[in-house]
Amino acid sequence: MAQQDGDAFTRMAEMWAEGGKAMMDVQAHAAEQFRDAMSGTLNPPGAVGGDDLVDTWRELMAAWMPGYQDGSGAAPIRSDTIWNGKGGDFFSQMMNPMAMTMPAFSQMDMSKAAPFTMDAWANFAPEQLRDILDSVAQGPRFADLAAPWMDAAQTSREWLDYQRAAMEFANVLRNAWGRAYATYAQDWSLDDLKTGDVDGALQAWLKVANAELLSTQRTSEYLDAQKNLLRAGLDVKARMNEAAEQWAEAWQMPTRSEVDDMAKQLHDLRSTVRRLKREMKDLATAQGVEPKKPPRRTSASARKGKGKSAAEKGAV
Amino acid sequence: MSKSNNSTSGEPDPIAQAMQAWQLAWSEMAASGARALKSNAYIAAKRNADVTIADAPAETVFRSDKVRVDHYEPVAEIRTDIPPVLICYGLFGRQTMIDLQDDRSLVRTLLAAGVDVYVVDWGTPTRADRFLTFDDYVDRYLLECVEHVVGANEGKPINLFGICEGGTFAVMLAAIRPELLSGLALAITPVDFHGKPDEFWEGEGFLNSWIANLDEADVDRLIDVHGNLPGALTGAVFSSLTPMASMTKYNLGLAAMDGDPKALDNFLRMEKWIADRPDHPGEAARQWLNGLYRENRLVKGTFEICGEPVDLTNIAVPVINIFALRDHIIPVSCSKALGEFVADDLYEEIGFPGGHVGVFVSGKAQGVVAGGLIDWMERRTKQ
Repeated sequence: MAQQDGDAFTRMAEMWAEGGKAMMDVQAHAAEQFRDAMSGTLNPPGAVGGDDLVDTWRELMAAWMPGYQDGSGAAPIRSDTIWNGKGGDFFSQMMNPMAMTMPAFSQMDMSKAAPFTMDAWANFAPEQLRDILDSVAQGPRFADLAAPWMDAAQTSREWLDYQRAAMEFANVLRNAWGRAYATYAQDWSLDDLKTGDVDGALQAWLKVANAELLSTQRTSEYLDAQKNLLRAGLDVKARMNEAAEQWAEAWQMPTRSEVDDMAKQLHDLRSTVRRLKREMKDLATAQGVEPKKPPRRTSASARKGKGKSAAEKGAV
Repeated sequence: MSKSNNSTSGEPDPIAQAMQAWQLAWSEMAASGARALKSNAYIAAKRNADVTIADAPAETVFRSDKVRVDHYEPVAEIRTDIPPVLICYGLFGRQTMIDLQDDRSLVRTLLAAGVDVYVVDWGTPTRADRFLTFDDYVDRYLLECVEHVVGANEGKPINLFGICEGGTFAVMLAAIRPELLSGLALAITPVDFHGKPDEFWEGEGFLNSWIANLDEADVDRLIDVHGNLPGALTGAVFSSLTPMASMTKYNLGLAAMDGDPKALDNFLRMEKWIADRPDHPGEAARQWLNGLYRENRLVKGTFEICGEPVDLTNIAVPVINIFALRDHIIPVSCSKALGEFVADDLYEEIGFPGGHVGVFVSGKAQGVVAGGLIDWMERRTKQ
């Protein structure tokens, strides 16, 4: 029986091992293909067979991202960047705040990750992307399944919201600058510069721009855009805090919340002690016991140096 | 228009005009660049230790947690007919503003007049201080500081001079413990946090509008997420109140100084003060933003210290209220509102023709503000 059990376990172990190996092989193969594609060694555009892949890519883009036009300057993912690995500045710039949370991100070659960064898709299909992330993040929670991915979707969605809020706020400011330029162009021209009063022209520009910015700051459009940016930024910051808490927890370190709890308890305790001391002092005063007064300091007793504290010497 | 800018037909030649303008612009840029380089060279030769602020000699005479009271060394015979003055700055900036440099120092001007000067230093709050509230700052720290100076004054009441948020602390303490004070002086102090928006000039009241546009939950989340109100955030908001000045101070501003040592030293001292902007303890900031700025509880009589509402009509000592007529942070009407709560025969005002910080650092302020304060103490708060 024991032998039979042993055989069964052996067969089961072999099955798992073979299955695992097959899975690893498939993944390794896929990764190899993908790596080649990313590095441009796999039939780049213009090479034999390369255009087919590009066409396939374009079709995929067209299906996924309404309004996508490959090759346009504004396209976040262009087939040429896929193949030549360029476009790193764009993505690394967009990913900077993530790098703050996860330093390892800053060491990644972002050009390789370009097709997978959420920001790349956000400009062209933000609502679709938001819906997808929502459907993942807001779905029913399972006890032992997919929690990290749901959290990641929520994080991504918040980051997407932050980027949108930042863009909307920037638009409000851009419009303000546009109005300032228009006003300035009405008041000043090349003819004015011909007088040689360049400083006058500069001061006029500063005045016009300042007035326009101050005026814009008081509009509901500006205030609401700034409020939305604050809210979205706080959501991202809160998620960073959460990640830090999880990290601290994992490494058996006190979390921020735990330290805050202790600070709160200490504060409340000290308030209680202070109240009791005051009640004792009032009681002593009522009983005619005068509290000790600090001596009056005169000019003759004045000493130099803030670092020398009478309080530190026990006067308090 | 020069002849060379005309075409052969006598019409203005736009290309020649553009070239001339371009030439002028380059010429000006070159001259400006040269001026900026002179300023940069001066700054490059400086070290941070060379830029000194708040170095009037003083001794720390009281300490409670991070809070301390510094007693300044007299430079003239102390006048015993004027009560000592305890100066209390706010938490959004450091009290070093009142002694920024030798010739523009409220502290030194008061000392020269024979006034006995004490100053509260709130220290640098950290995350451990996030739960400190107005109860702590008014009824604990400031009260303890005042009680110490009263003790040093042989139990007789003293003058309390509150600045900005420190003025609001002082107003509250004056309302709950008026017997400790012989006079209450205030500068750029908000009391009515909504003010009179209809009277705001174009650069006034943005802070009020910005906070009013937030929900209570926004403020709560801001504090909950950060713990304290970050000094970097408040600094950024303050900078946005003077947008072009903030954007051009390191380029056009330096060029305009043209390497002038005095102007550059003033600039560096101010920069050092601005850079030293502490975080504001979180719970007190929540009260400041929600209870005062949003809900305006102080003038409504619903703001509480240790569970008791602060009644501004309890202020029964002489008051001098100094405000800046071009203050882009605290609107004039927010400060002047205190006059509605204090008896007319106790209340005086000085409207300073300058901005928020100019009240202390401008040359004019030494006469108008410090001089006015000394005159008021001589007239109204003799002991």
